[in-house]
Amino acid sequence: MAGLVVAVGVFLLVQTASLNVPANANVLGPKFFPTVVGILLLVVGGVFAVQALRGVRAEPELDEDIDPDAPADRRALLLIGVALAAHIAALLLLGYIAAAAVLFWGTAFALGSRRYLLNAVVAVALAVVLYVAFTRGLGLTLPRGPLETVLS
Amino acid sequence: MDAAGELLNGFATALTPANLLWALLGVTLGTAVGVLPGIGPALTVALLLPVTFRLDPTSAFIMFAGIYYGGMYGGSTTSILLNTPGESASIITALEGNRMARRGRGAAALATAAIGSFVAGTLGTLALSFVAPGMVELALRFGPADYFALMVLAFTTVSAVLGSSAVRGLASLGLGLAIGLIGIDTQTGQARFTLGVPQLLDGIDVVIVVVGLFAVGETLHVASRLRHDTGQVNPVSGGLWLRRSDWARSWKPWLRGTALGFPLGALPAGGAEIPTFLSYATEKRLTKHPEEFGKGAIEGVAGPEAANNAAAAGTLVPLLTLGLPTSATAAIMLAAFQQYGLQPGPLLFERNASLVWGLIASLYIGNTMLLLLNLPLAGIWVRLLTIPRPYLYAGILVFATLGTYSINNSVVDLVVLYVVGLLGFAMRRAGMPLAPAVIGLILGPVAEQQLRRALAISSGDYSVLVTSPIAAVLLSIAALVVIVPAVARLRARRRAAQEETTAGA
Repeated sequence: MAGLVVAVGVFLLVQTASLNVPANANVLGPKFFPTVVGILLLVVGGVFAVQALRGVRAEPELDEDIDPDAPADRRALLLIGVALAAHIAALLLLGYIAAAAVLFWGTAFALGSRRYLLNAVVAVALAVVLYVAFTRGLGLTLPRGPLETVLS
Repeated sequence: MDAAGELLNGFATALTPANLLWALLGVTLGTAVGVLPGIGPALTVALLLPVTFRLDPTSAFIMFAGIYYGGMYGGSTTSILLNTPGESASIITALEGNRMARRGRGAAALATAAIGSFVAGTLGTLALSFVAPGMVELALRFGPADYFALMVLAFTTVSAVLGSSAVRGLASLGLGLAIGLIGIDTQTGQARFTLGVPQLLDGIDVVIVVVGLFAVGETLHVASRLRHDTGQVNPVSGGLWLRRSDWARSWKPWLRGTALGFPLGALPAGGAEIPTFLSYATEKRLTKHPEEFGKGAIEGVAGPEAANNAAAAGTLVPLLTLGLPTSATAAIMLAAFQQYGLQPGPLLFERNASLVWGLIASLYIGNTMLLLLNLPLAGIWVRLLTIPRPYLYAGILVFATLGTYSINNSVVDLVVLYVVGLLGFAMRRAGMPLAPAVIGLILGPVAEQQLRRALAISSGDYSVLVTSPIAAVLLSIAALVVIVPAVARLRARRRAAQEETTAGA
């Protein structure tokens, strides 16, 4: 994390240096503030790194559903990543209802729910309710696919 | 017109049937979403923001006021009934409230929290109504340099004082500031840090960042370490009530909590954590039943809950009069204002008087509705706590993506959401607080603008930043806030080291 903070700082400073300042810029141009932020990130990131190397750890944040002693579950993270990507793909190709249902089902699966059929029913029902509520009730437009065309 | 007259006008706005309906919808949705574990007040407000997109500004903010107070109230229900502590501002409520619930006194704990929230919220809103006009007078005298100093103060207090580690807070602030820099520079039209992606020219929407950090980040974090032995919910059936002895032990803590919460919340330093801790300490010292503390003392729920809600009302003072958010929730409210092209600050009270006072009036109304809604319906909210965790977090992700997508109907926004979600996950793993990032993101661009304006007026003379007495005082406080705790820590460490050497010799 400390590395990321330093990296963002470096990125800001490098990008700032390549900005062309237009001649009409008055006293303080568009470079000043990013430079300050970049330096702040470098300094803080540096201290952070030193602390981390010395073994100073933060107290874990409290959370209702977190088990602080559990090992990181990479498989669950990866599955959620897949579900999120599938959501975008379905949004572009199949319309909102399919996209939301895929995301819901995939996330529930990733978090360990194994009632496939029930989950699918819940996922589709939620997606349909949301679609109708947001398009009819709130007047927003959501991507339409074959399912949405049937509904309207 | 004086505050009382303005407030009456506000009630005239808020009491129309349509606006009452929006207020009711706001408190109901706010409570329902706020009760859900893993969703704090900030995320409640962010997730429900898209629901208000198509409303006219006045109705939207009336609904928002309901969501704000409803989300706060819902959160305390969670911490009382679920036997694992939630977010930091409600740790205290969980401390005594959860013990009470386990002893079968959950209904009394919820009732004292509900009534205490009502008392504190109403008194806090009353104080807001009469403090705000005075603050506006003061704020009208602020120049750009003063505003800049004020924001520096907010940055340092939010990141260095609150939270366990100043370094992590400042790092979080810096990341937020960096995200805020993305987009076109308002003064020169120069594109900054967009990496050539045209959709980034307008900058990254605050709502996307908040939803990404809190909702997506939280879901990933939970997925990586899901607690499989889900905390058991302490049962509460039927409505809520208080015994005569409970009333006798609750009313003073409510008032003391309010007295602590409002002024501390109204300071530009802000935050609800410090007043809740102070209130708990006060009640512990003053109680006639010290033996009950730690085992479920009702004073330990009544005081901190009141302090929490009074601080929430107090936070609205700097937000509305100065445009200065001091909590993540307030920062999202500010983003909501900006979505309607409104800039909170002294001018808002002149140009949009009916909106501001309608909002304040609906805070009173929302508070009353919450009391009426929560005392009889607590049993229903409790059911929400038993939602299976896979469904809960799947639902959070569906809402998060829907809210993000509906801002611009853009898939690029979803990609940004995922990236910010990963960042939020990484920050959580590293123990970094999220609120400084949100404040930095939203105040950063404003601070830059004020700084450049100040220096343009002085034609480049940097001394303008400290010659105004207001700015000089604010900047010195900001410096002290960072330096004093650091020095104190260093001294403590040196003393500890010395004692170790003496002990060893």
